[in-house]
Amino acid sequence: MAEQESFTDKRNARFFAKRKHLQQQLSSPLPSPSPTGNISTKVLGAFKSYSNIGSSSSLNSSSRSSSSNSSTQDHLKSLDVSQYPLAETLTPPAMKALCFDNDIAWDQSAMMESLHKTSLIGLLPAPDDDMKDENLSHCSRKRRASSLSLQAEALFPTDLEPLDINKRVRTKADVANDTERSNRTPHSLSEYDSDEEPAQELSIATTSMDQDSCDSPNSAFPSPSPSPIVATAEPHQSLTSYFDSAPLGRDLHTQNTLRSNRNLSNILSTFDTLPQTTQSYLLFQLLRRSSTSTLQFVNALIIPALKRDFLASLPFELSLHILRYLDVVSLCRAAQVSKKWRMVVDADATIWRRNLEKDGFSFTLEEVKRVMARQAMIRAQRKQKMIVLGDHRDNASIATMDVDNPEESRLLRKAIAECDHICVNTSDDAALASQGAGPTNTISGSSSSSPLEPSTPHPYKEIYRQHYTIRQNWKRGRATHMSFQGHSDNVVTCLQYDDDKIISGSDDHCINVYDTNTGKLRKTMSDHEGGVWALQYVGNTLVSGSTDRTVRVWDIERGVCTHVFSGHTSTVRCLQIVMPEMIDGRLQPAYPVIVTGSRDSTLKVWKLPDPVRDEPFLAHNPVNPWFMHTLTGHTQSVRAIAARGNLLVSGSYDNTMRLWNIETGRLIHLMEGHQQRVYSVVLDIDNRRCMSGSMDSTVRIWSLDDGSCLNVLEGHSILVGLLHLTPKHLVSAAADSTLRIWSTETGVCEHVLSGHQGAITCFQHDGHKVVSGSEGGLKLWDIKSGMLVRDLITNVTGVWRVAFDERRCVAAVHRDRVTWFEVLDYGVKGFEDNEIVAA
Amino acid sequence: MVQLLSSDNETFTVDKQVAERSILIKNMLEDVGESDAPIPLPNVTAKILKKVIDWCEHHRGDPVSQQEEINDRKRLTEIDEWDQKFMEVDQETLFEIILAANYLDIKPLLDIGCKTVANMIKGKSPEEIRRTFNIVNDFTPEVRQFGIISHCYFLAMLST
Repeated sequence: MAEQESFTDKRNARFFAKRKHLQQQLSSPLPSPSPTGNISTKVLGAFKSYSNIGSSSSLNSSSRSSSSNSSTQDHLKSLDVSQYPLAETLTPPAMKALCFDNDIAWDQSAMMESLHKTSLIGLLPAPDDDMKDENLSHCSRKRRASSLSLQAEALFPTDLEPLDINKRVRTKADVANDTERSNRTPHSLSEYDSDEEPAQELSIATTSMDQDSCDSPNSAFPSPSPSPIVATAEPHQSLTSYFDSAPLGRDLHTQNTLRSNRNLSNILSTFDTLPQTTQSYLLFQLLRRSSTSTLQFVNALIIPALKRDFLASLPFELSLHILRYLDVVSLCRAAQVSKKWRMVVDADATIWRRNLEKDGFSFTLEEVKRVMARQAMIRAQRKQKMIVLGDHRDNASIATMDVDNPEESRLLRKAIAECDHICVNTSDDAALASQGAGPTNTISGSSSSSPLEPSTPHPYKEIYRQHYTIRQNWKRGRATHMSFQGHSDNVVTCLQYDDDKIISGSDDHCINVYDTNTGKLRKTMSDHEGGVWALQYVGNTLVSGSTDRTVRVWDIERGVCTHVFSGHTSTVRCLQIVMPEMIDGRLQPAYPVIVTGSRDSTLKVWKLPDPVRDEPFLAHNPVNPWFMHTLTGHTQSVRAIAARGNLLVSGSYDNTMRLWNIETGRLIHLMEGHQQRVYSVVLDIDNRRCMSGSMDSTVRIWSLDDGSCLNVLEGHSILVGLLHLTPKHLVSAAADSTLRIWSTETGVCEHVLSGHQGAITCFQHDGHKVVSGSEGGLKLWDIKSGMLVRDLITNVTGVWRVAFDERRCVAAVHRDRVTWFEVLDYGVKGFEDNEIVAA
Repeated sequence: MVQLLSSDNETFTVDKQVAERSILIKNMLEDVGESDAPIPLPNVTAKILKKVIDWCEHHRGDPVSQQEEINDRKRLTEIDEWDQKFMEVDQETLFEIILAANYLDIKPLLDIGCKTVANMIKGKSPEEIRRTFNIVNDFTPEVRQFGIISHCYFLAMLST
């Protein structure tokens, strides 16, 4: 009796532990009761209610039973159970053999003996002596109903022990069991799944049983629940409603019930002691007597039991292998599934790096360092807060995800090792972390300042998020807008900017430097004696060209001119700084150079001085050590240049283009074909081509190899003043107030962007968008669809210059007879939490 | 012919060409040389081994896989019809196949297995994923809320 009690206690404990878990599992819709529903009810009820009485069977009969059953297994293994449909009332002819009938050498007596010994015989559908001679399969459904199921009904509604479908942990012993079992019956049940017959459902069931039953008996299937009283007090909601709707003959069969209860509990404990094969066989027999709806019910229980939490149970590398095939949206959703999933999804730097690459987001090492530092800081904040608040429950789990979890810290180490080229080591992290934690904690003090503990040991997911956010801000127009005046009412001829400064050149002879974030004027550099018409800067070095015929080099920081190059005899109209690039195994050009094009019809090549380290060159010394070549050949003003490596292409008002070697200063090709002045050129060195836009309203594509014209792109109606090239798109802007998007591959015009009211004065594009300015305003276009996304700036008389990068768009416009700078910043919305870093 | 011995001591006889789809077995054969002794595969049960052999039989003539480019995800997650059918198994079996493919070092089979799982994840909400794999949401309410706050902006934008 003591044994029985402890048995029940154990069951109780297990039951309650699982209940919560299982309510979730079973709350999914169950098959609704059908006219035949009460049959399934009966069978399940039988399982259930009989088990409630507690076990009176002796567990030590198991040894006897298994030994006596061993002889039956030899026969069982030759039975291909899966061949037979289950939900059927008719027994197929071959099935009779299965059912101990005659042909098959089923050792009936041995079986019956074993059943006797394990008191299983007591629960056989017709508990009388005839049973021994009767074929099991001949038991009619009716009889079973009267003797077994009906009695079970009487106990309804009782709770059905919820099934622990989550319990999938297999112990060593299980594996050993499996092996042992398989050794005994090598062909036994493993062939079931080769059938596509209705039997498949069962085959899954039996297979599952086969695998699971070696756990505790209640691992995947109904098992005894603690006691009827407790169970009724807390019936499982969905199951109860399911059973409630079945007609129950509660009061009619109480007596029978009591008797049968005892029997059924015997059945179950006996069942537990049977060898796997016999268990499978008995289950098979039960199932084949079951109605379709019972099978559906069983099926609904078994499918989840066979589910696997792949990402949690596969080795880490294999989980990552799976994630490789997911897009970003799926990855983000997967990260919300569970802690483990989040950890796996976030842990891998490679996946997120690849996403960055795939979606065309470029990032810098500085960015990587910044994000990593911030993550370290938030981690530290978290830890600090956990200590301060003494809240161990919620934060503990986060902390666990962070470093206390050995696996996470392993991943962390691994990821950091992966990023070791980033030169962020853990001590830096810790230093930053301890710096950041104190003040921020006291200032912000609330959890809202750090929405989510970054679980990533690497920065790439966060970097991806930031870039993605900015891109979406562009699409949706989520920008902050800043305006400030400059250059009074003069034309802004050139504009270049970065995150720190905006530099503009104007025909008021001045070059101004503004703070990108505040719009504050930092420096005005006014040494030129004529309008500035060309400028470019690299790092701290600024080069400008002017109508005063000089080229000047400036130290931006100090705001002073350090080098003055004279030589051109007319306005310097265009210039480009050419930085060395590794091409064909060597740096081309060998050192940084400046190329200038002038209205004097020549081009000149100069070495680029360093305004800080190199001696200033201000005197009117006739010998200029920085001068390299003069490129002569054009007969008219040089209007546009483009250079990369050692190659320089120039377009001139003499209607020709010329290709030059920068280092030698020699002409490579003369390109003739345009009928009128050339206004713009771009170089496509990877495809050995260059393009030009002309007053003759055409765009031409030229071969760098032989200088021949490869294609003429027609469509614009007048002057094509501006050209810009990205790998997939060539965009031209014309005085006819349209822009055209050409495919670089085919030369086909993909879209015509029309909507501006006047000549296009400036534009820029990237792989996603085109920003163009004209009188009236600035427009944003989608490059793939050619559709206008929105007007970025309106109510202006003209847009002098525009430039954008990933985060900002900067334009110099003319409004109310004053020159304004407009800065649209798309890197603010959605980054509110980053203020911590800025602070 | 090569004999393979499963963890549950079942012996399978297969063509050398078929068996050598497994780099593990291929290397073993190269190391050991021709031998009549069955190759023990202690990590693979007969049931799974049979599945794997079926796959290898069907793909015996396939060219040895080249290193795939993974830029085009769309193409990559496509699975040919036979393989799709082959992978129509319960999750437990799929799980075992992936482990076996990894252990036996059969890269294309591993890829297909992983793709199959990836396709089960794709396009589903977190809750649907949980249902698909029978996973309990173990985020604490606080973290769950943080998660929602932090992810919603990102996700809202991702999904449009």
